[in-house]
Amino acid sequence: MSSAPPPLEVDSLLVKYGDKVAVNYLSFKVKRGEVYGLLGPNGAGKSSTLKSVVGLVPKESGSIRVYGKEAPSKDVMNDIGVVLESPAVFDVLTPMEFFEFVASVRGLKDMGWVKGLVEAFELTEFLKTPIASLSMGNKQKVAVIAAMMHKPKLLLLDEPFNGLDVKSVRIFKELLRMHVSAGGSVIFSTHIMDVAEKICDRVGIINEGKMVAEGTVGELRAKVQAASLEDVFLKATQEEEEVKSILNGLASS
Amino acid sequence: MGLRFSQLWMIAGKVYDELMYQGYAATRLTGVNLSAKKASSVLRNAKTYKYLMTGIYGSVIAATLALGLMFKVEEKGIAVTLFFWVYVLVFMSAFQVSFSVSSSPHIRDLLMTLPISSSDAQAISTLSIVRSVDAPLAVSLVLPTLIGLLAGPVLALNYLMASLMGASLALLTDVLLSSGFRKVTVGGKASGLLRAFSIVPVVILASVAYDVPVFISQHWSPLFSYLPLLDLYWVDPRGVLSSVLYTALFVAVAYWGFSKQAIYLLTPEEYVGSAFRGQLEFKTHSQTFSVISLDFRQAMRSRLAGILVIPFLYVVMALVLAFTSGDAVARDFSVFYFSFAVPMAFAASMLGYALYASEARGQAAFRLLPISKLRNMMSKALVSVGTYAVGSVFLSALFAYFGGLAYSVPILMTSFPVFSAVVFAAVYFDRVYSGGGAGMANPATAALYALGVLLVMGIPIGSYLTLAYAGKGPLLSSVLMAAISLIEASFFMFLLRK
Repeated sequence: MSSAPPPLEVDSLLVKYGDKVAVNYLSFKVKRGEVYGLLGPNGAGKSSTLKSVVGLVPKESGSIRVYGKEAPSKDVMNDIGVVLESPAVFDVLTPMEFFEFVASVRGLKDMGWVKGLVEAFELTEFLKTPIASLSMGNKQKVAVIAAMMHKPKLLLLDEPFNGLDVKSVRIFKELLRMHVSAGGSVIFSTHIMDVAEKICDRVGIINEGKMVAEGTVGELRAKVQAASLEDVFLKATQEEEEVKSILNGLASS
Repeated sequence: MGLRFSQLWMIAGKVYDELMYQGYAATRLTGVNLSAKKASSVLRNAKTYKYLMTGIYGSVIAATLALGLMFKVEEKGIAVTLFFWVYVLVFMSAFQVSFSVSSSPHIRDLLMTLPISSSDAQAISTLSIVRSVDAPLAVSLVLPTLIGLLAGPVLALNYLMASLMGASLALLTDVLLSSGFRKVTVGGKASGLLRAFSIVPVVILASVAYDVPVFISQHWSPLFSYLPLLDLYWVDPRGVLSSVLYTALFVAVAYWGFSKQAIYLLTPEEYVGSAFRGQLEFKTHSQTFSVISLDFRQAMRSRLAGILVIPFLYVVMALVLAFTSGDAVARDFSVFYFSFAVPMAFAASMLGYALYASEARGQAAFRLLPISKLRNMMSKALVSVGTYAVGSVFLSALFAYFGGLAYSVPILMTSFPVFSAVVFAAVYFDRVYSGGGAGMANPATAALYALGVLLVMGIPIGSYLTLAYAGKGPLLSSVLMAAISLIEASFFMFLLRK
């Protein structure tokens, strides 16, 4: 039996903003070769969890390990590729300058893979346009390429499909499949249940910073006898009755 | 039907809040989300900063005028000094606002979605900008007039006109710069040069604020009464008449220009790029070089670009003075060292601060990359110390020519305090940003930083000057300065690695 450490292991993570608890002693693991979906309503603590892995949000207590190494740390950043909810890019640079900077910092020599990604996402004609003036979708493509250019073992993606067009979403989803087939892992957060249902091997649903359900989509559906992941989500977050009552109220007004 | 003034004022208040917030915080921290509590505190800090800056400059203006009245020194020339200080205060305040305006297309977008006429939108924009510079304008106009009244209505009127001219020209310069920033493509060479040289008038005016009036009064010609600014001496009725005309002209042009600024609020800075053509080739470099290159690009494309030019301004000023004063350089070496090498060192150390601040514009992206704090600091130190070194080569050659080779040693050795100041800046920014999503510097921590730099550079430089005055010679005194700086730098590097 393999004793290799998991790509990501979060144990009793506590994140607070002042007195407000954003992540409440959360624990979960991402396995090798899987896409793990972190789902939850707005403000549930998804982004805070992902940001604390890379140190953008300080943790109050608990432990985070990436391939057995304590995170956040400089070493860990070599194994991770990150796409944040708001694209983490340098607005005043052009995509060309930004890619060259990220590649230089990561010590990349062969830029063939980067060229391939630029062409796949049809960014070539915008390479000399300042990122500030790109559309939301093109900015997101820049962030995705920067996150994937060093072929990281673990991808941390916070709402990665934001603003992407249909073709780019398809390409990105296929890239994720290729990534996990090659032994890589992915953790991503999303509000879009259809996407999560299609590409996640396992999902964790969090609410108010706590894990309220975890398993494969099939397991969760069977557990609560729901027809879709959306139904599972609403039951797990106890929002189903609330939704019905709101809709009834609107219908009668 | 248009909105009532009270409604315009209320909406302008919200836009004013956003302008202050953007100018002080958000544009510098692209990519980092702030919690609601932090956003409120940032907004509070932005307003405190405005009043703090106004208070500091107001004190300088009050002290200058009060001392002039007490000692009756160049009483009329003080109006020119007042003009310079008012210009600096209003220019810097409006510059801060234009910084935020340039990066806030959402303000225009929001106003355009509201059911208001374009003239109401224009009025809201103008009011919001006026509210952003209200304190500096009020202090600039009211304080000198009140102090002038102590010596009679004539001087009060003289000061009021000087202030009006200073404030009007400052606003006009700012409008012209904002307009220029929009006309050149961000990222182009013209854009970088414009940004870099935008700060030059302020530095020059602040440097000569006290010298020019003395110089002019010593070389007075009746024709000066017709020249703008020099008419403020009021040595004869022609000067008074010229002042009235120039003041009216400046105020009218500034009012017109300021209205244009409100239009610019609705048309923010556009980033325009060219379509990529040709063979797709990426170039990679070493990590240190790529960080330096990134810092430079970010600084040159921001309003911080001016800081890059300041160290070289001191070289130019020293050159001019040395060749007009001759061997006085060697005779009063300590004075010249203190007047040129020390400010140049402080300006070079500010580069480290500016580069770290530029980096904050993409803080989230930067923190996702495997760059050690030490390597990052070294790249900033290379730029800061390198800039000082280039400037100091000219200065030391100058001192060696006029006074002997030994004089060049302290100039070159002052690069050590510059280095320790950059390491201090690294610790400061590390602590400020590690506080969470965006550890925002508040006026208190910014003041702490300024005090810190004064001490970090002041202790070794002060030690050098003390030993030099005690007759220990430039070599021994310089070695002590370098040794103290290295001890400081080691201590800060220890803190940075922790």
